[in-house]
Amino acid sequence: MEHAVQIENLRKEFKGFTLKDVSFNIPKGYVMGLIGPNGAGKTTLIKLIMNLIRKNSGQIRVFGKDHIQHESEIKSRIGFVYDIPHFYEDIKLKSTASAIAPFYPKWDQDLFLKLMNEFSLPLDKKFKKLSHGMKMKFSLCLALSHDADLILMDEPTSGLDPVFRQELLEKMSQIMLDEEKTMLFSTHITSDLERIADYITLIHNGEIIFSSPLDNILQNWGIVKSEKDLLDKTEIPGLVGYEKTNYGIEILTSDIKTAQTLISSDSISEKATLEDIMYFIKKGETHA
Amino acid sequence: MKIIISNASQKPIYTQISEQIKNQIISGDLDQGDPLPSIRKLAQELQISVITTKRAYEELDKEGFIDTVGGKGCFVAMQNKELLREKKMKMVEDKMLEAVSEAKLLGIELKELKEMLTLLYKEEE
Amino acid sequence: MLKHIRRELIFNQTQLYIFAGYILVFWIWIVWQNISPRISLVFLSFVLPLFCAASFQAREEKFKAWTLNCSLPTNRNTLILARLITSWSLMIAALIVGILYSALFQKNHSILYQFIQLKYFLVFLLFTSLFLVFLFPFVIRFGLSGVLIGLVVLQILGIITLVLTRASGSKGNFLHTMIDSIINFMKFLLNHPSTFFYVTVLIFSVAVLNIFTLKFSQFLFARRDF
Repeated sequence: MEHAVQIENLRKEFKGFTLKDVSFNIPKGYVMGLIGPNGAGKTTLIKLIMNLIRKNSGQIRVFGKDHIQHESEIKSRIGFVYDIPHFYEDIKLKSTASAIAPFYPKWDQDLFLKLMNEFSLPLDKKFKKLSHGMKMKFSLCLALSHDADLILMDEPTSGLDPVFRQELLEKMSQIMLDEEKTMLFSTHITSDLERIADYITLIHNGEIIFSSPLDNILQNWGIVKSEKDLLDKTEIPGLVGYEKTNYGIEILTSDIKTAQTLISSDSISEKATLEDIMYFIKKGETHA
Repeated sequence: MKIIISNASQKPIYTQISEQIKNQIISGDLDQGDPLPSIRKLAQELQISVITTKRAYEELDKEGFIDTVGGKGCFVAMQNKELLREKKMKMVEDKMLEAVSEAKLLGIELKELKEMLTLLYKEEE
Repeated sequence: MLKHIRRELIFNQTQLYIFAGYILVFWIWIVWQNISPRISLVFLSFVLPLFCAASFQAREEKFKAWTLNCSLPTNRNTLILARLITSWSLMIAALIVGILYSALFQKNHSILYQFIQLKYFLVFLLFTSLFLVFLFPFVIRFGLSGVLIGLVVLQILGIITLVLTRASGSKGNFLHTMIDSIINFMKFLLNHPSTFFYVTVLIFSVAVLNIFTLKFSQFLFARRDF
C-alpha cells in the first residue's frame, strides 16, 4: 500500500505540552480523520507536516520524500486549509489568488473561477469583509485550484453552521472520487468523520491512541451498560474508560465482541460512536 | 440498484451491502452484465467509507456474484442457472437451519415445526 | 524570484500606496524647503528601511500571514531573500523618484547632481545597509512588537546613561559623545575623496553588510515556529 504521508517517531516539545514519538501513516487515496480533544496535538501535527513548526526529532515523509529536503516540491502538491484565517485582510480575494497562483505549476485559473462561483465568493471583495464561513470556503477554493494530491485541513468545519458543514462534506466527498487524492481532516466534530473518513487516528495528550480503519473501530469498539458493580465481578477485556452513576455503569471497550460473551443478559451492549470513544478516553485517565 | 443501510443493525455495513446486492442478483432485479457503481461513487452516495464498499465488492467477487474488470469497474457476473438455483437453495437452507436449531433449543418437535412451516407458507399466499 | 517579488508587492499594496504618497510629498518638501541633499540622504537611509522592510514584516505579523507564506511551495530562505530584494528595489525606486523630480522640477538640480555621483549613491547604500543590519534581523526575530519594545528599551538605556553620567559627575555626556562620533563618521564618509580605492571599499562594505543581513536573517527565520 502506498502512503501519502509517513510519520515516524515524531517528537515536538513545547513548554506545557509534548508530542511524544508519534508514528502513523496516511494511505494514499483515502480520508484520514484526525480526532482528539482540544489541545491534544492535532494542529501541531499538521503544522509539523508543513514545517511551520520545527520538529525536535523523527521523520516525516510526504509522497515518499523527506518533507524538509523536498519541501518546495512537496508543497506544490499540497492544498491546505487552516483553522485560523491567515490571509492579508485588506487585499481583494482575486489579488490574493493572483499572488499565489504562480507558485503552483498545476494552478487552474478556470477551475478557481468556477469554484469561487460555486461557493458564491465575490472576487472583488477584501478578505476582511467575508464571514467566517466564507473565509473558510475561500481557503478551500485556493486549496482545490491546483490539483493538489494531498489536502490538509485543520478543523475546517468548526464554527460553521450545519448547512455549510454539509456542503463542505459533500464537496470533500466529491473530491475523493479521484483515487489519487488523499485527505487529512482534523476535527473534534466526530459526526462529520463518520460519513467521510476511511481511517481514524485518535490523538490525546500528544500520544496516538490508535490509528485504524473506521470500520474496524465501529465494529470492535462498544459500550457495555450494566449494574454499577459489574466491574467488581467481571473482568471486561479492552477496557478503556467507564462512567458510574447511581443507576449503573457505562463501560467503553475496544473488544465488544468478547465483552458481549461475558456479560449477563440484563446488561446491554451498544456500538460506540467516535464521540463516545473520545469522551471515555478523556474520562479514562481520571479512573486509571 | 437499491441499497439501504442501517447503523443500528448488528450486521457490519459491508455485509448489509453485499447481502442486498446478492439478493437483487438472485431475484433477478440485477441482470448479468449490469454495471455496479464504482466503490467510490457508492461510498459517496451512501456516505460511508470507501473501505467498506471495497470490502463488500470484494466479498461479492469472491463468491462469484460479480466480476471486477480492471479499469472499467464491477459488473454482475454471469450466473450459471444451476449455480444460481443452488445459491438460492443454500440461502433458504441457511434460514431453515436457524429455525431448526432455535426450535431444538426451545424444545419444539419436528412435527410441530412442519405444521408451523405449512401454515406460514399458506399464509404468504 | 520574480513571482516572490510580485507576491510581496500584491500583498502589501495598501502599504505601497501610502509609501508612494509619502515619498512624493517628501521630495516635494525637500526641494521646496531647499534642504541639503546630504541631510535628505541621511534621513532617507533611516526612514526607508522602516517603510520598506519593517512595515512588510509588521503586516505579515498582524495578519499571521507567515502561515500562508511559509506554506507556499518555497522555502524560508527564499522568502527572506525575496523580502530583502523587494525592500531594496523599493528603496532605490524612492531614490530614483527624487532624482527624477529634481531633474524636472528643481531649479538647481542639486539632488540630481548629488545622488548621481557614485560616491554619494554608495554612501547612501552604506548608511542604509548599516541600519538594515540591525533592523532587518531584529524585526524578523522579534516582530514588530519586538521593535516597539526595543525602542522602549533604547529610551530606557538612554535615560540610564544620562543619569549615570550625571551621577558620576563627568563633564562629558556619554550619549552625546556617541552621537557626535556617529555624525563625525558620516561626515568623514561623505567628504572623503572619491578615489578608486574608496569606491571599492564602499562597494565591498555594502556587499558584506547585506550578505550578513541576509544570512543572519535567514538563520533567525528558519528557527521561528509558527
